[in-house]
Amino acid sequence: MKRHGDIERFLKDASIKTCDAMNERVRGRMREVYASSTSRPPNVWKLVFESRAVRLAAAAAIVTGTGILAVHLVTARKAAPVVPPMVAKSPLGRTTALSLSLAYKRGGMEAVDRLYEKATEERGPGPTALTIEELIAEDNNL
Amino acid sequence: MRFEDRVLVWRLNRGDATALSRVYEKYRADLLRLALSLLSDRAGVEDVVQDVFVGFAGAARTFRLTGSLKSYLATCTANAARNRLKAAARRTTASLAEALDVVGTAAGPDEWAMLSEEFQQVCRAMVQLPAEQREVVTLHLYGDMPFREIAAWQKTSIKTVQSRYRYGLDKLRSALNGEVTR
Repeated sequence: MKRHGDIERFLKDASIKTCDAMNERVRGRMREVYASSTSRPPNVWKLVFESRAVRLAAAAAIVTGTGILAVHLVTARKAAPVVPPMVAKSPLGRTTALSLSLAYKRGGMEAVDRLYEKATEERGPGPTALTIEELIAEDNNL
Repeated sequence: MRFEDRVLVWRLNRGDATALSRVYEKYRADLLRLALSLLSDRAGVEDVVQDVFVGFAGAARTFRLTGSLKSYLATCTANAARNRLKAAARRTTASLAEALDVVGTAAGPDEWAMLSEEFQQVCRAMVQLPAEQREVVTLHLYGDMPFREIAAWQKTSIKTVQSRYRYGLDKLRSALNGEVTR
């Protein structure tokens, strides 16, 4: 044998045979140990963080998710229209036949005048001449 | 080869005990040759290889294969052989008398491995090598381990491992040539 290749081939080709009885004994022992070993559920965190690529992917997913959530919250806040609070008007504040009658009973014509003035103020700018009938009709959506 | 190993490990993780037999059939001869080349006593060889297979069976349900299964089993065998040698406080180079103990001209009825004439020559030549060279040669040839992995295992550089391999083969060649011409 002159070259390294020859000696390598000689070493690799040198064979052994194994005894069947011993093979069966070892296989049996392996089966016993395998059967008695407990199967634990896989550790998810270990699986996820075992690979560097998976770790990077998980970090990227968290960053992306957080970004999307933040953008969504900011745009939602900007786009939301300012809605004035919807507060029902007290029946006594409205200009109705009942409110006029009650105002008259409480304070006479002066109270009726005050109710009328308040109603025209709340109504905002508009025609100055407004009859009681028109005011009642407008205030009650008639 | 590696794909089959991955499938075998996958089956073992899922409780398929028949995959154990396939792993055993596939690697028993290589592990026995590896242990026979590293250790001097026949009983120790059988104990070591049996322990490696049984240990693998015990861990098989949760075993995670990251490289080659053959390299993994070869490393386990070499570790066990090294521990056994340390425990026995043997010399790094065994004597020819010990080598004859390994090859044991006739295998008894209970002996696991029956060596061919060529392998008996290999064993007689192997024991003349220093332990490090013997480890490199056997792990590379019988464990199919690349020099990089052997260097990591021996905690040395690849160049040192390559030198050990070259010197080891040179010594084996001269030992075997002497034996062949004898």
